[in-house]
Amino acid sequence: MLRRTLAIAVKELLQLRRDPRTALTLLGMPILLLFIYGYALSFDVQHIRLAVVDEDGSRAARDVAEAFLQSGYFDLVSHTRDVRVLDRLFDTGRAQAALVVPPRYGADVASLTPTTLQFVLDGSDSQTANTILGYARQIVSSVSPVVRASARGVVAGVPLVWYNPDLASARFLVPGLLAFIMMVTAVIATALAVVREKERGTMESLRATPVVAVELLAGKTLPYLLVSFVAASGSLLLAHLLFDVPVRGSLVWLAGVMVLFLAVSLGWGIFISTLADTQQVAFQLGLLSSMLPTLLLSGFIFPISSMPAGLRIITHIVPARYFLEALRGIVLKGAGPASWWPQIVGLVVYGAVVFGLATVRTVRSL
Amino acid sequence: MREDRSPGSGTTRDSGAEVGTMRTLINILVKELLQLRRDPKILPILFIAPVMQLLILGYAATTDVRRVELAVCDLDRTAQSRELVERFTRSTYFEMTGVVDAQPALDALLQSGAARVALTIPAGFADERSAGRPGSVQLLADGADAMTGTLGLSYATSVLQGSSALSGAGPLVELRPKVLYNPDLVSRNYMVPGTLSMILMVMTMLLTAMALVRESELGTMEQLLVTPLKPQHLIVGKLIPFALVGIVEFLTALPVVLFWFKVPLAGSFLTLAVLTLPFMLCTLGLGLFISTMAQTQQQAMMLTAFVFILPQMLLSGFAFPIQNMPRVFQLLTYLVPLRYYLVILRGVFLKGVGFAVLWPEAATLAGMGVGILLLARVRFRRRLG
Repeated sequence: MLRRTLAIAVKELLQLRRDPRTALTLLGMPILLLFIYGYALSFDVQHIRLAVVDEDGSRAARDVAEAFLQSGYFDLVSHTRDVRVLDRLFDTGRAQAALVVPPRYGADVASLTPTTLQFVLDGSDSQTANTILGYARQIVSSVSPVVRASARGVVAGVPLVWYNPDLASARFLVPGLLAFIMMVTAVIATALAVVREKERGTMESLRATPVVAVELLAGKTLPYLLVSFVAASGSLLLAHLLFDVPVRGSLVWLAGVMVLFLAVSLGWGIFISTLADTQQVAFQLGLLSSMLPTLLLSGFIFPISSMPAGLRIITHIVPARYFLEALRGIVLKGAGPASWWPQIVGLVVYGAVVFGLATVRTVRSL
Repeated sequence: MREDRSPGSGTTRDSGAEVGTMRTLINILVKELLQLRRDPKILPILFIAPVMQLLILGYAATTDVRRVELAVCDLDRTAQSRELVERFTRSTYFEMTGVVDAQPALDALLQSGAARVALTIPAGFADERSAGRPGSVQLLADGADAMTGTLGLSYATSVLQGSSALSGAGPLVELRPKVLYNPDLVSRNYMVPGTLSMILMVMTMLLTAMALVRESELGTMEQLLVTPLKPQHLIVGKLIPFALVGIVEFLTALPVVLFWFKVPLAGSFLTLAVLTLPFMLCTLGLGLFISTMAQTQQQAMMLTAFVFILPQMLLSGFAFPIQNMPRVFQLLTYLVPLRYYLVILRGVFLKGVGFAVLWPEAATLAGMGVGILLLARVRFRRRLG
């Protein structure tokens, strides 16, 4: 049995080697993504395009505008006295935010009369807008003298960020990236490899050999297990070297959890292959059932807690959700099994169900 | 090969082809559409997939943080500290997932992910405040889940500020914000129109790339080559059905955006539709280009998904703002057609602007589309020859 499984695995590897473009994509894609994630993506809002409309022209007005520019978050794109230019600046996207200093601002500040500054911002991207508003509030409160001053009643929060103190995006995105890479290579490559035999009609020839279903599936998945594992470990190593992503927990646990997750993904790939007759359908199903949920419903980028209740329930059937929680625990928090055993249970249950379904369907179709 | 034949027979065939150009084109079109219909599983996927993507993206891709898991360790246990805790639990930003008596217990909650933000009120908090000194509390955030962690932290700070403001301290200068285009700062209004572009891009690019590669993989490309078809007829005949599929998908998905998610369309539908065409030119051209690079359907799919779609999606400003990227990557984004189309989509949907503002983007897309198509055609010819 082992011999036959290995024979198919070797055949599959040979086929992969004969097709350098696929192999290159499978191994090169993780590196490309890692570079983009590590270097390019960030939620740190900077270089905010600011227009200043100074209808006052007083010294105090210049001070507050100066404070915005000195903060390092804002780039000045326009400085005028005429508020009517703003429409055009915002419509074309040349300005993202505008500080409007009303007339009498200087006089009010001098006479210690409470006064207001107007801050116009492009709310299209709500998250960026919220961040910008936060910066603006901070700056204004730093230049505004506090009246009715009494320390009484003020509650200061001392913030502290754990596990990723400088909030480097590479550090929190890399675990999600690993999940993504593994899911994609495992599900899509496996599904395609099995369906290709069907589509080309070589499945019949395989059926005529003494190979049984289990051997066929094991032989087909083994090479991709290897490729995904290499791609994922390579990316983690690269992330460690380039972006200082630490591995605080035990490497043994890490490898164990990765293999478990891979097994689940492979099971899913085989299941899809039993549903599809053409590579095109297999790919679409794989994309829809693995790539999108892993990106969107695993908590990789978008927080699960913010989703509506129905969708939050659906996230429980996304294996990447469990894997990601365990992975972040091991890689970033240095946590032991006591913290993430529920995730392991989730993955094991998921794997058992998927493999059961896949075997039942494969046996029937063979 | 066909050019090698005798000049006389060539001219007669040419004039015949001139007359039959339209008919040939229609024949290829019909063949492609028949082929699409013959695979009973692809059709439902073609139309269900976009709507599903839209629903998942529309609900999941939210950057509004709500119900952040909060753990509280109240070491003070006074009326004042309880009042502060209540301010947190009353807001929709937080959901209390743990109350503990000692700080080490907070560590465990953060480690297992049961809490993303932890609040510790030190003993003596109420005494400090009644003595007229500012009180101070400790906020811990989980940086491993940076999005929830940081937003949770900033919401926590604003809850604390709210509790300070109530007690009478106020600044002289008040900042009065005015939010344009999306006054309630709903992230869905920004993200959902963007997903339209994803659907268009994925479907048109992938289908085009696959269709041409399938012919060469199955060996039917040779059969097409011995017919009196010219490469450009083949290309146009292959592209039009997928352009049609793209348009139908766009029209299927648009009502979901407008009526299910209730994203307001500030601009005109006509502007949107017309400005979508140059983008489709780019995606179809890229699909054709990919088909000249790939030898098998598997290669075509992997190239499309991982080399063309994923990096484009990440570098287009779809989820990660371009302005936050380092300079080099910002320059790279100018090569990404999706970048321009997102400006168009969001401009029409949120800002309600039209041609007067969006013509540079539209012109760039049209130029890119024509360029890609020409390049793909040259490569296609070379492969056939």
